[in-house]
Amino acid sequence: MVGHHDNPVFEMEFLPAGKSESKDDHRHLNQFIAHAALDLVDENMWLSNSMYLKTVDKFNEWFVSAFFAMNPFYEINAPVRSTAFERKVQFLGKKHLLG
Amino acid sequence: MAQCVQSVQEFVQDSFVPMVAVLCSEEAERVTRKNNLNFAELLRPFCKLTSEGHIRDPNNQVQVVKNLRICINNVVTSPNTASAALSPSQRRLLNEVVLACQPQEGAVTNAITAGDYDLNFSDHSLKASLPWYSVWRETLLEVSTSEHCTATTPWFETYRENFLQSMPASDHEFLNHYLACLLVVSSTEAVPVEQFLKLSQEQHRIQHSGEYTNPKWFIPNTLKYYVLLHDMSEGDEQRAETVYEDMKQRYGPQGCYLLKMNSRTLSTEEDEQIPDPWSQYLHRNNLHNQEILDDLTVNSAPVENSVGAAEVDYPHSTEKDGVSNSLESHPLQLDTVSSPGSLHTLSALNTAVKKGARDPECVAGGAGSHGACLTLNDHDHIRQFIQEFTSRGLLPHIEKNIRQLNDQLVSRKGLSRSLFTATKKWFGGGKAPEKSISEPKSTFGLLYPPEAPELQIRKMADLCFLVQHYELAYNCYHTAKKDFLSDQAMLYAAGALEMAAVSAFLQAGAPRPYPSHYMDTAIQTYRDVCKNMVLAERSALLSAEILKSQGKYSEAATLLIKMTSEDSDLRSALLLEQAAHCFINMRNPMVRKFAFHMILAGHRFSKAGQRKHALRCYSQAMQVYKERGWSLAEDHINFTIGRQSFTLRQPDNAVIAFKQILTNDSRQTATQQGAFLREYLYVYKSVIGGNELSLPQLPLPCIHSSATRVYFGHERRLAEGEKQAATHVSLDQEYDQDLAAMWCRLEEQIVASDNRGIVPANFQPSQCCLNSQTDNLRHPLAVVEEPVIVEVTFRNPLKVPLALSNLSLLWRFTADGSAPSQVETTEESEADFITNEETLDIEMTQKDDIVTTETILDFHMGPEETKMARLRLLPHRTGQLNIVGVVYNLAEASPGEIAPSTDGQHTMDLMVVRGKQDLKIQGPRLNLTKEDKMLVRHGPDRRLDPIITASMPLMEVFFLQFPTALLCGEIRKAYVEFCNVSSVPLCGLRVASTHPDFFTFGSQATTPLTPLSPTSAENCSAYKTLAMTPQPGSVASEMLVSAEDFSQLSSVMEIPIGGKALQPGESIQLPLWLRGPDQEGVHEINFLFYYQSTEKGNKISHRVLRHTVFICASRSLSVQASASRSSVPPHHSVDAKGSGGTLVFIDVENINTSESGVREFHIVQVSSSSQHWRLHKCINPARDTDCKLTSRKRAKLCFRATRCKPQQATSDTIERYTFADLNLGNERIISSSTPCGDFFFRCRPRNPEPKLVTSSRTSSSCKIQSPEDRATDLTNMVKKCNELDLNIIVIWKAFVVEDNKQLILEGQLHVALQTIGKEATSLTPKEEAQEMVLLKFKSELPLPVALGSVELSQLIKTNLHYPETYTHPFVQDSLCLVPVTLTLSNCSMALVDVFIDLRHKSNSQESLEVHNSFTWVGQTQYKMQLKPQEVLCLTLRACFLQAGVYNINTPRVFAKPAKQVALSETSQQTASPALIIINNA
Repeated sequence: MVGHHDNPVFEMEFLPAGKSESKDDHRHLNQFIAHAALDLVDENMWLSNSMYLKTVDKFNEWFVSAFFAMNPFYEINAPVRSTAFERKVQFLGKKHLLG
Repeated sequence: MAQCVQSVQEFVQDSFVPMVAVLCSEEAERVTRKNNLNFAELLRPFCKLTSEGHIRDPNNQVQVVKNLRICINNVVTSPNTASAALSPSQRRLLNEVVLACQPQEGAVTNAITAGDYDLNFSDHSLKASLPWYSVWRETLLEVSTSEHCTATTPWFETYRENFLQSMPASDHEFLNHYLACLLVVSSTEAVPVEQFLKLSQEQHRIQHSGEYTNPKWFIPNTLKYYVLLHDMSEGDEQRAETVYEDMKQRYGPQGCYLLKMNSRTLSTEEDEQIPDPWSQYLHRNNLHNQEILDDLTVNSAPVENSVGAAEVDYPHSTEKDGVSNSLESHPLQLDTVSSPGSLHTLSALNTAVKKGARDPECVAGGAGSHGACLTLNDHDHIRQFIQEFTSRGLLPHIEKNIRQLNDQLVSRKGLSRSLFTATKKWFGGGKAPEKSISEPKSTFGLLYPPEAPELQIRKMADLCFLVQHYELAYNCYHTAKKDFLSDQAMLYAAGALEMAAVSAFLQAGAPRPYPSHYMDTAIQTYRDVCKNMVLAERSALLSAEILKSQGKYSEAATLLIKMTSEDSDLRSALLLEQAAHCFINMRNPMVRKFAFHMILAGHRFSKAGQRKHALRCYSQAMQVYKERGWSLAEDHINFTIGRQSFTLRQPDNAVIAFKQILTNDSRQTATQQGAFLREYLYVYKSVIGGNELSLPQLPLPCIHSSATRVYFGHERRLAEGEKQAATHVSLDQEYDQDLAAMWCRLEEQIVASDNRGIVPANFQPSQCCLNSQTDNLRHPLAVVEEPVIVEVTFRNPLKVPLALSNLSLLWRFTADGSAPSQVETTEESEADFITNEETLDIEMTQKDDIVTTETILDFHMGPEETKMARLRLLPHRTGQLNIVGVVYNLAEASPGEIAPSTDGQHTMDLMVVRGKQDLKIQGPRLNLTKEDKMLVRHGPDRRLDPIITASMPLMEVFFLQFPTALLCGEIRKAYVEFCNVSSVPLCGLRVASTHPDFFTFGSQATTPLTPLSPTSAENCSAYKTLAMTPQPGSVASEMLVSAEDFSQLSSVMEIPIGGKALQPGESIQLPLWLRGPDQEGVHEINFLFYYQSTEKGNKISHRVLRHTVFICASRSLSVQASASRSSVPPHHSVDAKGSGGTLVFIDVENINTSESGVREFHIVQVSSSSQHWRLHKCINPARDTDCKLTSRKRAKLCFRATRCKPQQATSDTIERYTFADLNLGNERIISSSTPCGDFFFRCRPRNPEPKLVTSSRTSSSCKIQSPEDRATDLTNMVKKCNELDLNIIVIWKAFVVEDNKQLILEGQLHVALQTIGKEATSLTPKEEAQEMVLLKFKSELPLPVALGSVELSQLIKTNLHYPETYTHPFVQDSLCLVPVTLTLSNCSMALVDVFIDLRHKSNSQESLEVHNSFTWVGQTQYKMQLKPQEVLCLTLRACFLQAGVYNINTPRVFAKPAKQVALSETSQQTASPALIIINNA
């Protein structure tokens, strides 16, 4: 999740069941790719009526999808630190992304 | 160097230019060598034509050729066949040119703002800063100024130019095949014509012998152009002219040329500044040599011969067509062979050095200069020569060939194209299978032999293209493309497609849009079918440039990104960077894409060994990522920047980058952080390896500077033997705002008491410990030879432990008098201060004569730990001290052990660096003026800038036998010791306390001579006693004491230390009596000791010492007392006349809880103290003299109190108190002496209100009801008559068993009896705070309080005196008359009107019955006035009619104060029934 000033608000990584630890050298690459995709998100969000952009950008084997939403968190642009939220995201991620 | 800022058209056009070969005779080579150039190089700056050329196309239309550039190269023969990839040497060359081309440091920056982002680019090419450039570029280069490329990446342009020029000639296209050959012979030659012949044969041999596949020639019949070179300085001009004439005869005037040059003599025109147009064509100049060397040494293995070669130019290695010139070989070139491949440049350089040393010309011309023998005229000659050659030789030659090819093609067109192909099909494909056999590389389609007819159209297209006839070229390429495609000759087709696209783009007036799909197909074919990355790259470069010129940045970026591949890091890096620039040049700049591709480019640059470029890319990208929370990305960038900076010998930048990684909120793993830390330490170490004077700042651990606390003075001693030291202030205590305010109040009280009750205006509370909450606006005052302790809060942000060592404070010191203006730290005169900073590396103790600096040897910090370090300074001189920072060694703690080991062995192999960190504390934000509120301003915070003042006295206070738990009211004797531990005497010792009733030092007048030594006084009573066994009926012993003797009634006490001052080293021990607080629970009792120096005028006026004790008070006894008027008539009392008799009842209850181990309490004495009353005697009926109370037992004591002698009471100038002691035990405690008396006075409520409390309350309520004064007077008067003001002191002993030992504790409880009839208790009433009070919005009117009967009934006391039994013979006399005396005593001090009514007026049924046979006879109503305290007896007669028991207490007495007319008389309260028994005789 990214705030108005291109600042990451929430990050989470889902790994296939087999892998327990992601490769460290990819962690920063994920950020690079996500950040770079913002340019295309900015461009595409005005072209589509949908809140969801399925594949907005890709880099090698990484595909970037985007979803626009209002920030429901009490402080705009502040990092989201909530274990409940994290758990929920974890659950949904497992269900939809890995399942 | 690609200095030319070209238009796209120019760029594309110049990418394909006619190629001209050069063959030089040795003599001619020698002549040109004088200029430090070979012949081809000599011509190179002039190869762009300034004038238009003309050509006639096959249709006889004149075609203008503008800005034609030709390319002249020495012939390099090689048997190599063209390959699809660049040769290693070519790659190396490209790598070098890119390496050499770096942005200039400190160039003007370009700022781009895109959305949220501001970006700066500092990479302008060098051109703008070379002063001669702008002057010469018109004359030399004819650069088109019409349109500049936006790219500011000269390294890319250089790369591109070199790449295009190093393209291997290929068979499927003719563009870079040689069209002509210059044969150059010197006029000094013996027989020049022979030389020409030789060269001509040589050319023919090279082209036609079949020995060499390279160079390739365009047409079999290559144009030969004969050039006679004449050296003006040495040759005979006449002869040259003759030879030239002969040549013209032989080769025709358009086939030869006489070039005169070298007219400059060294001596004459020494100072003429001739520009050097060659330098930019020779890729490098001196400017870059050093850097290249640096980079090369960094990049590769050690090189022996690199040393000393730095300063020299090395032109030969830089030629685009390779190192070796076939005609110029040098013996030293063997070096090249012997050195490793990548070091070839260096070896060549070495060669140049040696040669330069030998060659006088070179030396004379300066190491780096070219064309030293040429004048400007010579330059013109060369330019004219090129002009002539092109327009007379080359262009007609091309024109002729185009014509020929066209004729061929036209003749062949007779056969229809379709037929041509059909024939091929019908007759089995003609040569197709043959070719596929001959060429094994059939994977990418058909290959034609060089002179195949299919290639003729391509050849014609290429010729047209070279002479800018783009329309014809396009048509030809288009046709060729179709042919090649139908033949499935993919390479050829791709080539045709590429050039068709380019031609279409270059056509003037753009009849058709640029067919970018042609280019895309070409690129794809080159790359995927032909596997020829070089050609694919060329197409991509061209296409990207064209797309960019049309604003199609997105397409250009995609194209460039597609061209990145694993086979060439350098190409990928450059193209990614260009793609990044495309993103930022878009109409809506894609900054984030830019940044990402810069990162990718940087990554590839670094893989390609281009560290500087990599660093630049990362740094530019960093502008986008920084401070936005992409911490992993940021860490990656910083780490790369750090590494690259370090290897590029920019350790300062490296340190900054690593610092960022370590201090940012890191999300890295512990292992990663550890690696970062080690890297940082390593880099840092190499930075401070330099001889820097001041230590650099360390980023770790973080200092929480506002949490810094400063403590002035010695650290307190907790105890010394049995002595317990004053708690004072310490860093271990938390700051508490309320406590601080409390101490401040106490200090104010003391200061005021020392200053005639006024707190001075400049009063500042003493602050020993400063923190963020204290007032730090002023410089704190510290005392010389007393330590200053600074507590610094460190936080380790990392997940790895840190080991700090040799940690100490950094300070600056300005001695008193050296700089008078120094008081304000803002104005600092640099020269005068002394600091301990420089000496740190050399010797720690060097400045210890001024300020001793303590060092903490080991300070270990766990992962993410916050830890405080206390660092001490001991100033030895007076002046201004500024604590500026901390200095320490930083190392990574070995993760295995957490505790620091003392030997320090383990730190030896770890990286340890030394550095400092500043302590800068921002003061509180100002909020006073409007400006303060508008801006964010901060006040000063001076807690680290103490002023060191001259010696002050220093006192320590110790307590002996000081209890921690007491019973309520318990009296204990303790000792207190005051020591002057300083070198100056102290005086003015005082103490203030929050609980002044808790302790007393005793009063001088009454202090008993108890032994001073605490040990000998053990088990003695704290009281002063006299042996005296109580006798039955004994009366109280009395003592008259003035309250003045116990004068210290305020909360501030002077401490009686005997003499005036406590001398240095002296100490004094004083007894201290304590009394347990009356309320149970834990009490915090604070003492503030105050003292001064005997010398006046110090900066510090006084000093204070704090002490806090906690006393746990447990319940002892509860004493309740009440007083009532004695009903005994005055004449019955033994020794007191008048109305003095008052009974005092005292209820004592043991309310102690069993836990405290108290077995029983004994009431040993009851004393009274009052100004007006005294206890007279014990009238307990039980007569148990020793009142023992076990747990929960209750006892009642009864006493009679009398008024004091009147003269004592009336002498009211001083308050004199009568102490009366009634001992119940065997000894009498003298209550008027210390400590009993002291505590009596100390425990009295401090304001003398108690007697006024009730009255004032009443009066205030009266005031509301009736504002008249008389009412108040009356009330007071009425009150007064009930006032008692008798203070009871109950002294007890408690028998306590503790550790199987019996202890006797003693204590006293006070009860103040204010009013008769009102009960008072020793326990302070529990406040019922819990009770909820209803919120009222309207204040209720107080109920009207009438001066009730209760009050008025107290005015007069009545007594009836009569015989208890009276026997009367009713038989004889039916009326029985009994005399009864009614005694009236006026209790008040006023005149009272009394009205007595004896008339029977009973309402109750019961009394009616009784009174039927009883009546008063005689006068039944009396009216009289009683004087104050007057006693009056009235004799009444009661008449009884029959025998029986009667209550004769029926007289109703009304009283009112005299003169109170308005007030109705009120019935006096009747006493208990007065019974009389009448017997019948």
